[in-house]
Amino acid sequence: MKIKRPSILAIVTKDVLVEIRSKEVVTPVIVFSSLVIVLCDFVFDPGVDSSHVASGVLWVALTFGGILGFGRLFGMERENGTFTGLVLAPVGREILLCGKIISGFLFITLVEIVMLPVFSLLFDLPIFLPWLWVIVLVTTAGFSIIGTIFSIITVHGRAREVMLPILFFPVAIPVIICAVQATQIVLSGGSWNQVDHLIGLIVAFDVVFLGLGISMAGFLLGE
Amino acid sequence: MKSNIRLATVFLVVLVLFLIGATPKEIGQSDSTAPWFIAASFMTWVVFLGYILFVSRKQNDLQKQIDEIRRSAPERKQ
Amino acid sequence: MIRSNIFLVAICSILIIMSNYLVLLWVPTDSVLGLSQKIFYLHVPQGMLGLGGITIVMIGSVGYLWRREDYWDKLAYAAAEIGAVFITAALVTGILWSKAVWGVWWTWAPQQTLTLILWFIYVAYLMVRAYSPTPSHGSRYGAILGIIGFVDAPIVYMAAKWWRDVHPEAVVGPLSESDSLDRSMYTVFLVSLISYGVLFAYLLVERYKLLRLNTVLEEIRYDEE
Repeated sequence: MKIKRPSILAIVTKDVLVEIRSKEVVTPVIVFSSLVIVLCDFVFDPGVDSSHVASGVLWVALTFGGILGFGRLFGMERENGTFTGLVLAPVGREILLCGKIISGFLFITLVEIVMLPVFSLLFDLPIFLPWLWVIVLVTTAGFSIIGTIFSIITVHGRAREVMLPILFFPVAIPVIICAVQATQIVLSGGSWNQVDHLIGLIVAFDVVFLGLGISMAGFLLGE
Repeated sequence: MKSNIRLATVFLVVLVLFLIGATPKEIGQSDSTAPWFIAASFMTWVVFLGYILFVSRKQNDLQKQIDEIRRSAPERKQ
Repeated sequence: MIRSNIFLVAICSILIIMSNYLVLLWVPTDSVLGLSQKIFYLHVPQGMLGLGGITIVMIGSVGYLWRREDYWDKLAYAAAEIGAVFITAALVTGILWSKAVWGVWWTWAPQQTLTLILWFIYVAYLMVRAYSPTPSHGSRYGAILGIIGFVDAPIVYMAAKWWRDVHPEAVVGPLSESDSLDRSMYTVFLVSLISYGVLFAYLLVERYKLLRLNTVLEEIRYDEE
């Protein structure tokens, strides 16, 4: 009766269509992340070896922008009164959660596609490095997973705009640490051997938390 | 309810004993590092005493609620 | 109930007094670090019990999500509060220990980083419980966060360790936290750990009873309405 793939696609398609029409997630996050990068450019003096500061700046911008984006993912549902409809849909909770995670991943990846050239311009660093994109994508996946889970937790509570970062940052710290380190190594011309364990930890984080999220999806989206 | 106050009193007594008993003995020896240990012990007690006081206040609030309910619905006591 | 409280209070008090005596007057003072080395007997048990706290939170969270029984939820909540207190104490004594031994307030050592992140996870848990729209939401979401926080802790430690390998400490102290201990020091450390453990248990029991009483009162009020 329930066919899994079309349901996930339906959820992702719905989110993409809503985003194309409303432009409430990707555009503001791009502008915000660009501003953070520009601000950091003033605050930190990149100096000769800008890769050291640049990787941190990039991930600060993407992390803060990402949090805004994930907050909007379910915030929009709540504001438009569609959250109940989503929860009442005749699909498994795991499908719902995965659909939302994929939507979040797509939106933030789109932001990154725009942001990385801006970052490259301001810091004069190469971005067409395959390992850089691998790092960015696996980290974004991790952000999407925990960002979606915590967005669901905070969407109905009080002080939701502040609660999401408070929940997100402590749990995302290992991913951010590894991403910053790996990005710095890759931007300085490092090889796969130097970043494989870092990417491995990020992937392990993604797998563990995706598994946790799926197993707890019923509790997250139930009642 | 009173056990929290008892525990707090024990802590205070231990703290005072520590201040009286330990400081003269140890200060003669090394010790420019003694203030760090005293500060750490002091902060430990502050944190735990602070929490005990917090729990005691919650206990008092609950006790007031219980008294209020007893006053407003005496027939429940049967 | 009162009798068991007095018993616990008495045991706790005796153990604390005993551990204080042993730390201050019995165990030998380190020749290099002096009295500040004895912060170790305060800091490490507090840190270990902070980690124990998040474990109890996880157990309570799993129990609640699995069984949906109130006492699991209350156990998790009480353990989160007590764990937060112990982690706060561990953070503060750790900062003082770090300054005394290594000359800097903060070293970003993996254990220190984990302690700080755990503190934030505890605070996040307590805030989720406080800011949830209904108590049942708070219990459910708190349970989810409790499990996530527990799973995250070793990953944080590993990431911080690798980060530390790239950014070594500016000053390396003569006594690291993993040095082997003299027998008497080990004995005193154990006594200190046990006394803090009993304190943890006592505070947990008290807080748990209070939370249960609060729930009972809410039910009575609800019935009255």
